Amino acid sequence: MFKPPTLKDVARAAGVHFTTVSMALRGHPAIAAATRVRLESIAAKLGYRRVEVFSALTQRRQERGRQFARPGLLYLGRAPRRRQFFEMAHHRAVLAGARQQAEDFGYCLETVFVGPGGVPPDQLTAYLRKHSARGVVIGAWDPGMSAPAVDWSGKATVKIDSWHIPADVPVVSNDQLANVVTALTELRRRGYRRIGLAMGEHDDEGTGGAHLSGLQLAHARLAPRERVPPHFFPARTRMGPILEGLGRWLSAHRVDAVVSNWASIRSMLQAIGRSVPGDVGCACICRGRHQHELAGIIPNLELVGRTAITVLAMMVRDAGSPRAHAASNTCVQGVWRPGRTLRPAPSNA
Amino acid sequence: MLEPQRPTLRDLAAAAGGMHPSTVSLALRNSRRISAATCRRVQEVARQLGYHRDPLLDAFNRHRIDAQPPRAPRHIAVVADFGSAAALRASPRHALALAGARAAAAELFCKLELFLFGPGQPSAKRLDSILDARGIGALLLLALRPEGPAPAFAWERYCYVAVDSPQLPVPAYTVTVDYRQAGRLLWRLARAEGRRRIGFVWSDESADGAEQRAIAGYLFERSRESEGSPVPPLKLPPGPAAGTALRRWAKRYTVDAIVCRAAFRALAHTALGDTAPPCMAFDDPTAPTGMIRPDYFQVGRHAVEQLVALMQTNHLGPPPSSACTYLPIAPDS
Repeated sequence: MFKPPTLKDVARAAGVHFTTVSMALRGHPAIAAATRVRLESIAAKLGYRRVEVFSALTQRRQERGRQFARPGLLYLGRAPRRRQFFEMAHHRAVLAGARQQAEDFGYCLETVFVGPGGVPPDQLTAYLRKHSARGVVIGAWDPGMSAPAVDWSGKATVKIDSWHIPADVPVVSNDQLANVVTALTELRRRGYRRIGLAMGEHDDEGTGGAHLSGLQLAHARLAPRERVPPHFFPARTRMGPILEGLGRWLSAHRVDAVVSNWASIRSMLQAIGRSVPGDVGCACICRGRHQHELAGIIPNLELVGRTAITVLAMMVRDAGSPRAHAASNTCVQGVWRPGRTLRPAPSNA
Repeated sequence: MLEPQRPTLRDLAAAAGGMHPSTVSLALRNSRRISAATCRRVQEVARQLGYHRDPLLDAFNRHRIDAQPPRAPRHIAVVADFGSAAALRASPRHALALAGARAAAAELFCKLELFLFGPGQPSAKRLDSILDARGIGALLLLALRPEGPAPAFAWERYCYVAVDSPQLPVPAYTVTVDYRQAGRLLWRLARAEGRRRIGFVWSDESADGAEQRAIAGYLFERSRESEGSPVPPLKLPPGPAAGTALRRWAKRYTVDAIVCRAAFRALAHTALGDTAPPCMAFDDPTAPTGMIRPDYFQVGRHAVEQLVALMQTNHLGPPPSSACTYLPIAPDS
């Protein structure tokens, strides 16, 4: 098996102690410039490459007994307002999973908000370059906002959703495609025949079109007359017009059940005078764990966070080695839960 | 991120009652050489002490391992649903996945061993006892067919990862090809060749997610164009009716290209003969240049890496939910 050239190989070829080589390649002032140049050229000829990890480890050993920093990972959030990101139950759950997994691996996870009150988007590249963290998680950035031009190549990076962020890195998300298919299947089992999907205008940009794909897949099995076109809630609009639009769509297509990724769908329907499940059924494909009345899919958000960190840790471990990490896409399944917002399933099902 | 002197393995060994550090290391990894009770106790002491892995050391070990011969490799059992090793080798997808798995195992200081499972082979229960006797606690599941015997392993005892998404009775981590991307790429390829009546043929919708994902990709790309009346996907009826259904569909919709599984091509040639439109497969690793070529070698490799990550963090048993990793198809050079 081919062994890559080591520091000692370079030292032997140059006729010096390996410490000299190490100091020279690091640019230590004690080594004369002429010596440094000579050793650098010998190292280059032999094909010796510095391994960052070894330097870091040596540094660690030298610092033993004194305080030192635990290697860190960054978790970046972006939304119109800080509290919309870090205080939303959805994001908190993902973050909790990420934090736990980071600790299991021995990393320290630091959360950073990109936007007003945090790091300005146009300074993000510089911020990342200066930060000592070894890896970055782009944590489900809000697709409705402008995507800043960031250079992600400096650190190992993983995305949670955020398909709209141009970074060809591994993505981890809920399996929104399968969730939509499951929801429609469950609703058809309960006899609904005019099932419509309603979601925010920009919601699918973060998922790479997963919701629409799921709808198309479900529709492929239906007769054309049973296919209800999806409805999109306009962005940056007051609730009044949103509700009006919802009402018009329900009437125009005689929708008898609504599937949505908005957990507020039930109260929205009730606000426009539809009783649930009497007039129309509803299910949420991204339901909170504690919303017991709402039928739908509970996503495993902690596992999404944990998986993102697992993938990131693998990339950090391999940093500096020639192997590249394919931009994989990991989809985490949720679990269907019935609720009181739908007719009951037939008992013989 | 600064913290005072962190507890080391030796500190942990002392705190656990004067055990040897290697015993502690084994106990943290749930090694079979240490009793379950001791493992639990040591892990609890570790939690209390705030002992955690050092990722720098993990990274360091990865480089060190490349240069050293293995001393006591960790064993991974590859459980494959084939009647014989020859049958496995004859299936390009699975042979490649196994090759990729072996490559990753070699890099990660693990030893793969193939165990056949399925018709004419030991049952799950028997395999369980064999693996237990051998002290093997990690499984790589390959090609377990849904219509085959239900694999009733003692899942809680293993770290396991499945390749190519079989339907397992428990939640699992799965690694497979991004068939949705494949469907999208094939649509675009067909359009680039000037095809306008591109159809999709599928057969068994319940079995695995590959066809579902592929058709999702195909439909997604199709929906982005507003070309006249699209060709409806054809679901093949089972048995001899398939050929007739195919002929009728191809004629009625003047299909000039078909997106399908590789296995379908034989039927297309039998049913449609020389007039068969080109069949573009989404799961053929031996496809010629110009077609997409899913990388099953990478799939096998990635699966082993995931499995080793699970082993390192003691994640035994079924995960809280299934999670599937889809590997992208590299653009053909």
